[in-house]
Amino acid sequence: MPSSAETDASGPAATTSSSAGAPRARRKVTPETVALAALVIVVLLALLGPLLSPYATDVPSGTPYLAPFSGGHWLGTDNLGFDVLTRVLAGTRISLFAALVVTGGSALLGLLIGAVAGFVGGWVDSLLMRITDLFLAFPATIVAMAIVAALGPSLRSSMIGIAIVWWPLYARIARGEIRRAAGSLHVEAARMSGTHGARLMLRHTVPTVMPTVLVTASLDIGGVIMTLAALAFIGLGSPAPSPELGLMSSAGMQYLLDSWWIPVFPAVAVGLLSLIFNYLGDGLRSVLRARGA
Amino acid sequence: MTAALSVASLSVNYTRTTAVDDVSFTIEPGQCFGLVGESGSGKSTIGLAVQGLLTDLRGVTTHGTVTVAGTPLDPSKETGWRGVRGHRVTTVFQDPMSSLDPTMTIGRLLGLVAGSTAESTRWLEEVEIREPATVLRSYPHQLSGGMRQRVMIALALARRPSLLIADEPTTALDVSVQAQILKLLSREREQLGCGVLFITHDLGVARAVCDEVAVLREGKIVEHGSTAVTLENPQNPYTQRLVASRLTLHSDRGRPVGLPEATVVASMAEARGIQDADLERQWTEGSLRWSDFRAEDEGGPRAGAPALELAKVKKSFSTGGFGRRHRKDVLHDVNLRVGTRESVALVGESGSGKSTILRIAAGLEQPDTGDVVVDRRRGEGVQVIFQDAGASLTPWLTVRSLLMERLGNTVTGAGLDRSQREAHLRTALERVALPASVLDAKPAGLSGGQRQRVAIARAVVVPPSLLLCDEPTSALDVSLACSVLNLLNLLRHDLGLPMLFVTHDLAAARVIADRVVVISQGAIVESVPSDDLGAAITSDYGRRLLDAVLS
Amino acid sequence: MLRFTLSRIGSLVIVLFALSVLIFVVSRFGGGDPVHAYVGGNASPDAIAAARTRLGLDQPVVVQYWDYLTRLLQGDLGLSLSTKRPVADELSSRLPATLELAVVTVILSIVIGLVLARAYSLRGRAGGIIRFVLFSAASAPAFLIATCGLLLFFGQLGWLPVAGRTSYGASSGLSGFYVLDGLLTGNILYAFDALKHLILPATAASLGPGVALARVLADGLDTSLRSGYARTARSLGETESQLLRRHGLRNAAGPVLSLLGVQIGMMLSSLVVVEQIFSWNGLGQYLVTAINAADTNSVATISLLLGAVYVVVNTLVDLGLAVLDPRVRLS
Repeated sequence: MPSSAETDASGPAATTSSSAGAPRARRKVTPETVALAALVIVVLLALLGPLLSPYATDVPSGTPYLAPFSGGHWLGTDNLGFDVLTRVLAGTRISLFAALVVTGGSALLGLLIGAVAGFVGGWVDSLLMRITDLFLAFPATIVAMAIVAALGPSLRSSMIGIAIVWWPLYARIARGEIRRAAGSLHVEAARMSGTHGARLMLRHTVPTVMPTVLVTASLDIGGVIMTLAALAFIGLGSPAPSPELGLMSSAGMQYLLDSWWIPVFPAVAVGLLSLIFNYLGDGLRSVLRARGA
Repeated sequence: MTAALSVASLSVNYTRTTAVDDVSFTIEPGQCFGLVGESGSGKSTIGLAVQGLLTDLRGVTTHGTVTVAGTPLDPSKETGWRGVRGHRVTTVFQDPMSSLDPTMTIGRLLGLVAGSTAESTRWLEEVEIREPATVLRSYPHQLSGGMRQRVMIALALARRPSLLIADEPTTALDVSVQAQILKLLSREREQLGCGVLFITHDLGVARAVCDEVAVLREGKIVEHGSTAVTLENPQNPYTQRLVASRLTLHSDRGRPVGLPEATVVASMAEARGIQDADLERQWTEGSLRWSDFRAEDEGGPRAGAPALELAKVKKSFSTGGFGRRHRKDVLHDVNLRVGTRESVALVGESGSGKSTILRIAAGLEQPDTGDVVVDRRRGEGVQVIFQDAGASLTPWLTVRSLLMERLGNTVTGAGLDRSQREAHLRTALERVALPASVLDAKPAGLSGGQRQRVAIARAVVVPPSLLLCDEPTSALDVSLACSVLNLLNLLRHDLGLPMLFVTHDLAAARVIADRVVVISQGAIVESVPSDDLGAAITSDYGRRLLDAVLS
Repeated sequence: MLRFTLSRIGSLVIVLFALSVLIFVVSRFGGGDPVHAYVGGNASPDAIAAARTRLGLDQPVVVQYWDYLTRLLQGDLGLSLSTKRPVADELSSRLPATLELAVVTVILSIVIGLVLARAYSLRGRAGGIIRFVLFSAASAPAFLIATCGLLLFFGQLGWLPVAGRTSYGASSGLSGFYVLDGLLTGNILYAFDALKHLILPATAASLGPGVALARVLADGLDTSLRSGYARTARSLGETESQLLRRHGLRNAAGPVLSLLGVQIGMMLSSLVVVEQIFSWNGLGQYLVTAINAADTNSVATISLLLGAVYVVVNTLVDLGLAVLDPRVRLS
């Protein structure tokens, strides 16, 4: 007689989830794959921009000012005769670089602080989490503005300012995940089987924290790009000739009605970048959820 | 007289699977009809279909006719169900916590159905709630599980339905509460004269309350008849296995429980060194006894060296947040002893402190005061098998890494080379009747039963000095629970493992343990030998637990 | 509930105190030289020393902070380092403009959230396209929405004004809210004109937060309508619309409210950008002017003010959550 012991595997979980199976099946051709492809293209363009473009970002191309699209200038030229496409590509590179550094830096810092709080516990945990909660209670962008203004406007200051207000989120998440993981049954079971210390931490605990931190970080990159652009827009980024997207858009604002391409394309680049990262982050999150982590 | 419910050729298909396959039955007014089956048998789906909750759903196709109190309805279309669902047919669901809106007071919720406050109060009194006025003002999270289920019953009865669906109404409750709720349901059925569709996985409960039962398997009714006939003298092999798997206080604890099951038969035959077929024959004949399995290192009990000894153990936890923090005692002066070759079951309801004792014995918690002594002479320490075996396996590691890790952490394992360790792993898997192929699988790739056996294999890859089991069978279907109990009993006898088995189920406790220790509110109430348990239990609390085991 | 309220107010005070310390420290030690901004580039050493004393910079830091805090609590926000006028005057003349814009922005984002939540949960291909469009809109920076809005509604269609709060000159009304003043004085034309000036800036600042609210509301409703209590309600004969009204909205409101609290922080910073684009003479525009003039005192004060608004709003949000969910207030 065949065993009936395994019937539970194909039990109600399998049948009820399959009732919602139709939309999931269609998801196979995900927008996330499209976003990933778009990201690769954008990164390549940003990196290779200087090689592909015949124009420089810091020397006016000389020829027409405020010219609309043409064969020579695909996105037109600005009031000083710079090629807009060249500068937008350069700005994209700066944005990508700055956002990755800021997100990576604050995620690492937060992970470190959260991990220390989570593993050590006791008063260290209380102290670190009190500080973290205070920072979380502050309005991030406003505090970042105050910090950047005090440090003196520049891209570097903006990156520092954002990183200072951004790490607490990761500290909270990392600490919570580590606490949750440390109390989870599989860690207890591993402890019971005689595994302790660093091995228990690295092999059984930390791997659950990483996906959540990675998803949060990828969802945040879009926000960091937007914040950097907003800071540059109100004059907290590097000064004038620097090809920062926010600055280009705000400087070009006075030409909006006659030469709209000058302020609009840098803004479009910001939107596109953050859209790509938002989609990727969202995709990563649903992959993680589907894996049931 | 019109039937309360009549179901004709009901089928329900999900996108890829068939949940219910051509099911027909009739429930007369005042009759209690039991729908019995294991998880995934389709019983809850039938419950949803007969109240029109599967209408107009994407990915669900429904066929057949449902006739509620004389009104024929199409379970696939919403037309006609208004005024029937919630009026002629109502439901009591399994989990009363998630089934009540957390943002609504009981008064408001009940008022929507009962109409007036006076009516609401009357219904709360009807379901034996003592302070109806207080309860009306309360939110669900302020009530106990039993109270919430009484509120659910009041909600379901307030419109005096012709048919009441009870979908596992007592599964989430403690045994003593379970008995009260069942009594209440039976009394209300008699008073209102409504038909009851009673959905359960528990044959004991079905036997206690149902007039007629239908046994479901994979969406089909395999056997149907009066409760007494069907459950006493089942004809269908599946029903026979289910009935045999049900443990009672009269099950023979000297022999394997349930009917022979391939995987356990293989392990037992291996342990005894005989052919599978011979062992299965002995099992069926009833000549296979646990006493035939003997640990290799015979020798009598080592005097004065218990496997576990707890002396005057106290434990309290702090509860509440800022401002009103206070400590709640969970254990007072607990003394507990597990002998060298003894198996002890610790039996109590939720919140009794039984799990805390297990965690203290495992070293996962420290007692506030008192001594914990574990016999270290066998050298390999204490191992635990948790209730949720799946969650106790680290999801991103393979079975091989998990077992190797345990082996490497033991005294025995440290002295072995690579190929010897691999051989050890294979022996451990054979012991729990798993093929060597699972070594490279991760937990997600295994079935629930397989995960449970991997967890057992990890615990006994090197026999521990004490095996702790935390309700390892309570989340499992009866047949699976039987095979886990048999497996644990085999390990216990074959390896001579001392064991502490924590459970709420007296019937299971009796089968696995030599001695049953009853615990209530953090204190040991009594300790009795498992043979002749019914007569030996004398404490009030113990008698109440005993009465609650329906037999 | 009283206990809960008191504890929230307690932590509000602590957070405000910490915020003031942070802003103080940052503005004093950030590297900018307040004296330089006060006296200008080529002042004599005597003038610099005099300015240091006048600004209290020769005192120990703790004394400086104490001084700063006590004056702050008395409503004395110090002098603008560049205009030499009291910062309090500069702010109070501009506060109504920002408040009016902020209130309209918050209301608009809630309306967008409510309206789009339905569209967000549409099934099938149309739903997918709608979600993509909304997602894109939420990813667009405020200045992209503002520029596109200006090009279309001012440049092409000429329906909406390009900048400022009114075409008629400042309101003489009491509230300083131009729309409200126009209505109160019976000048409908004036109110309508002021409203037209509000549309583009408010939309630019509220579209992103609105879409985010819509997503969370759609998610929350979805979770709520699949829950056990929704199943109970259906089995008790409630219709889908009764279910939504009685159980769905209330249970989904919690996450929406918490998100709104967070989004208000984002809106405040978007308003700075938007005021700049639309020459909206409010706190944001003043902040940008102060940044460009390296007027650290004004920058710090505006940051503190905006920060305080955010912290207070979030305390209110916490209290609102407790009202919505008995498990929070009775725990």
